[in-house]
Amino acid sequence: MKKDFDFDRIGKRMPYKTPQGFFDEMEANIWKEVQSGLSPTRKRKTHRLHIFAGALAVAASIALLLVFNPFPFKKQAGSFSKVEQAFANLSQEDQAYMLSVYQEDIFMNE
Amino acid sequence: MATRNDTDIVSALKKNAENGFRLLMAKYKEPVYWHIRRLVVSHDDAQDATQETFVRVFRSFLQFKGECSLGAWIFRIATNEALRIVERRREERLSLDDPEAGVNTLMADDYVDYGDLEAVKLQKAIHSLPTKQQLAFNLRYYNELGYDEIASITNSTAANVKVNYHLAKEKIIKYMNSTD
Repeated sequence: MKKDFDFDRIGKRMPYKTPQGFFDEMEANIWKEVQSGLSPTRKRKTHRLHIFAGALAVAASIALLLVFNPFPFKKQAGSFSKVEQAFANLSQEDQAYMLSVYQEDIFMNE
Repeated sequence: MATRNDTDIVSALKKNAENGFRLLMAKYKEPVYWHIRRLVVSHDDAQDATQETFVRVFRSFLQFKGECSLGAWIFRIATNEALRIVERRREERLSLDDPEAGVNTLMADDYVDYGDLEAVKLQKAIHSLPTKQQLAFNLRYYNELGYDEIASITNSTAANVKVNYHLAKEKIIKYMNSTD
């Protein structure tokens, strides 16, 4: 290797390469994931499992509250607005998941 | 990064998601991938982090309020993704009691041309730098971003970025002129 390193000599040359057609393939993968809302990697699946478990626990609590309502009728409006607020705070992805799972729930739709 | 193009991308994303996505990818997919690749080295890790970056960008686009440029916002997300992977790999190597952990090495990867000795040595030199200097150098030298823009990506000040860039350059020259 020559002495007296010169940035101009090497410029932006890097030793890194990519497989042929990589960028087009990656764009297609990203678009697929963005559209479906599904995640292909193990890491993301694990993360989603935690979200689903949390969402399931919240939904079960709401269902129990609706069935065994311990509060007077007047307070229901407040409870519902809190539930709506909590729902609004979820990400679009989690909202879609909650809706897809619970839209036909007989307790929720009573 | 041309502001006008970013404006077009932002308005396209608001009007038509797919059209906006295509414009966004046309401009940023390669620079973002290479920025991440320079930090994580491995092609597979760079691919994962780039995909994660664009999925996040797309899904949280409504949270982009224009306080910085679209490019700076995307590069900040990309940098966080890359550094998260770098940290994870470092912890994995430390937990395995790898004697190379923390030492300046360019990990084995199918998509590195180890025959280009000068280019390999330059990347090793960059990886020997502290993270802030690495970021300042890479974003200035390879991406040709301004100090202000780099500062908004790295949550720093333009003056600090400038100092880090010049320190990085000096250390790289010293490293490159040293014998292996």
